[in-house]
Amino acid sequence: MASLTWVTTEGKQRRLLTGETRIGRAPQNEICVPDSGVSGFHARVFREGSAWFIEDCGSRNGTYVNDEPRKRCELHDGDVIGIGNADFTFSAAETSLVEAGDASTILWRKGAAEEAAPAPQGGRPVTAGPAGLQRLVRGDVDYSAVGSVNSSLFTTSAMPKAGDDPLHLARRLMATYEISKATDGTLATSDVLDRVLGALFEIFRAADRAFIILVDPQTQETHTAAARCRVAGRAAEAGISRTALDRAMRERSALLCRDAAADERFAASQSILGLGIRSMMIAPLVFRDEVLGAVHIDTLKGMRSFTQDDLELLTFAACQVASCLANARLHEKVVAAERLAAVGQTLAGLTHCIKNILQGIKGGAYILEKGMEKGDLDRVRTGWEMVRRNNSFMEELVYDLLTYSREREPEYAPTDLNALCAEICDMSAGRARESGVELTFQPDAALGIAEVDPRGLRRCLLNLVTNAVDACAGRPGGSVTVETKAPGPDGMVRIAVRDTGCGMSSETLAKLFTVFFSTKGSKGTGLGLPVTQKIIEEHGGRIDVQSEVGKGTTFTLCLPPRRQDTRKL
Amino acid sequence: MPDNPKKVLIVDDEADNRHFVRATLEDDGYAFATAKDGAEAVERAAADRPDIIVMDVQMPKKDGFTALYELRQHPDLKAIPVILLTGIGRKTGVRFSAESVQEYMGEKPDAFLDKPVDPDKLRSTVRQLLHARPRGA
Repeated sequence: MASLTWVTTEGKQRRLLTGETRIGRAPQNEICVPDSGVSGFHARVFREGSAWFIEDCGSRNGTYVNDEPRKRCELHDGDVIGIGNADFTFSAAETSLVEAGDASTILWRKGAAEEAAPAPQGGRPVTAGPAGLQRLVRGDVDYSAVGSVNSSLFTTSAMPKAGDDPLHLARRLMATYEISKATDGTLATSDVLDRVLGALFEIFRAADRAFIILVDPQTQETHTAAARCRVAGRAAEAGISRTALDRAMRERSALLCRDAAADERFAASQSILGLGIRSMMIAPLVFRDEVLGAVHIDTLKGMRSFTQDDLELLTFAACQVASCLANARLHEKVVAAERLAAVGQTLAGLTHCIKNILQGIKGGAYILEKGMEKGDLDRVRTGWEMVRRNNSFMEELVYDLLTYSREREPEYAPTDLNALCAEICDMSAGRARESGVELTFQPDAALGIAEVDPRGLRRCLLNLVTNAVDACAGRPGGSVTVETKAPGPDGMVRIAVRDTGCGMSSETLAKLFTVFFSTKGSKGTGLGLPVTQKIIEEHGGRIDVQSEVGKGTTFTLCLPPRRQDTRKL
Repeated sequence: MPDNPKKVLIVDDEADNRHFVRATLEDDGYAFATAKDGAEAVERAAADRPDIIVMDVQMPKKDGFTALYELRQHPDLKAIPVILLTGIGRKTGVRFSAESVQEYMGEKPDAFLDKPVDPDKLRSTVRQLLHARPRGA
C-alpha cells in the first residue's frame, strides 16, 4: 500500500494512503500541518487507476516535488513532496508495518517533545498535531549559539550520549557519512569544497543555497570559495549576510536564524531579509584555534526554516570539513614545495648542460682566435671543430628537451630498420674507434619494413649506442653489438644494443630513466634515456634492460610492428 | 720552453675542455699532463707531482670535490694548488664558491672558477698561484 512519510520533532510519521488525502493547515485535512507557510487546503494526493498523483490546491507558497514546483504530477516511489516546512516522502511499496487499527498514521518514536507535552491517550497515533510541530515552526527568532565549536560540541550536544534521540543519532550518522564520502579520496581544496556543498544539500533537504567562505591565510580577508544553489542561478540572486558571518567567525559560534522576517539583531546592519533569506545557519570552520572560514546555508523559498537540531548537525559537519580543509591545505603546501624542488632540479640540470656547451663554444672560439693570430691552421681547425661539435650538442639538447616536454605523435613512415641500425653503427664507428671499442651489427635478414618514426628511433639508437660505447671505454676488449630481430610470437620487433662495459648497480638502474640523472659527468645531459623511453612508449613499445656490474648491459627496444591507430573516426 | 717548466695537471672528462685549458695556458711555457676523472687525477698527481692542478667538478667515477679532499689528505700532495672549474651543482642548483666547498667537503680549493671559464682569468689565476707562497708556509 502506498504511504507518505514525514518527520516532525515528534519523530518519523507515516500515513498509509487509502484514497484521497488532503494536506493543509485546516483541521479538516487528513494530514494537518499547522505551519504558517502552509495554506488551509494546500494540496491533495489521490489515485487514478494504479497511479498516485499530487495536485496543488492553489496554495500560497506552492507544492514542490523533488524540489521542483508542481501544480499536478504523478508520484513515484521515493519522491519527496515539499509543503511549507515539511518534506513528505512518497512510498509506492507495500509496507510490512503493522497497521494500527483504523488509524492510518503510525508514530514510530516517542521523543523528548512528547515528554514535555502530554502523551496522546488511548494509543491514538500522533498526527501532525499542535504540540510538536507548533514548536518546530512557530517562526520566532532564535539565535542559538552553540558554544565553543572546536571542542565542547563534541563533548556535549554533538556527541551521541545515553538517552539521545535515535532519529537525531541517525541524522548525525548520515551527516558523518555524507561528509566522509564527500571528502574521501581527494586532497585538492576546490574538489573538497564542491563535494562538501553537495553533501550539505543531502543532509539539509530544506536548504536552498550553501556557501563556504574561507579566510585567506596571508591577507586574512574572507572570500566565497564555493557556492551552490538547488535551483540554478539563484545563488547569484541574493548575497549572504556579512554581519552574521563576521559574528560567527569572530565568536567561533554557530548561528541560527529561524525566521529572518522577525530578525531584529541584524536589522541595524545589512538586512538578511533584504537579501531574500528566509532562514539561515552559519557554522565557523575552526581547526586547532584557527578560523579557516565558515559554512553558510539558507532557505529562500516558502516558509522552510532550520531548527536547533539542524544547527547542531551543521556544526558537527563543519568540524569535519575544517579538519579536511586543514589536511588539504597541508597537502597543497607539500605539493608546492615538491614542485618548486622539481623546477629547481630541472633548472640546475639544464644550467649544467648549457654551461658545459657554452664552455665548449667559448673554448673553441678562443683556440680559433689564437690560431688565427698566429697563422696556425691546425689550431684554427681544432677550435672550429670544438665550436661545431658543441653547436650540435646544443641542437641535440633542444631536440631532447622538446621531445621530452611535450605531448607529440610519432611521425610514422615505412622504415627499413636494418638500414637505420646500419646507419647508426656507421655514425658511431669513429667514436667507438677512438675509445678502443669494437662495434658490430648483426641484422636479422627476415626483418622487413616497419612503420616507425625514423627520426625519433634514430635518436633512441644513437643514445643507446653512444652510452654503450662510453660504458666500454677504457676497458680492454670492450665490444658493442647492435642486433635486430624479426617479430616473434608476441608480434614485437626487437633491437638490442649489447655492451661488455662496466654494467650498472641496482641503484643506478633504479634511476636510469630519471631526468637529468647521469653518471657521465660533463658529457651527460641526463636526458638521453628519458627521451629514448618516451619515444619508444609513444610507439606503444617498451625498453627491457639487463645489466650486471663488471660484465655489461643490454638494452632491448621492443616495438609493435604496426602502430595502433589512435585517431578518432 | 724553459728548462724546468712548471707542470700543470689538467683533469676533465670532456676532451674539448682539456683542450681548451691546455690551449689557454700553453703560451706560458708550462708542461702538461691530463686525467679524465678524479680517481685518475689522484694517481697522476702522485706519479707526476704537478705544480698545479686545474680540475673539473662533474666527472664520472670520482668527482672533483672528492679528488680535492683526497689530495689534501695525502702528505706529499696536500700543498699542490688546486683550481676547480664548474657551473652549479647538478642536483642542488647551489652556486658553489671556494668557501662553500670547504663547508661541504672540509677542504678548500685555492681557486674556484665558473664555467664558461674566461681564458684570461684562468691564465692569471694559474700564474698567481704558482708564484704565491705555498699554503701553510
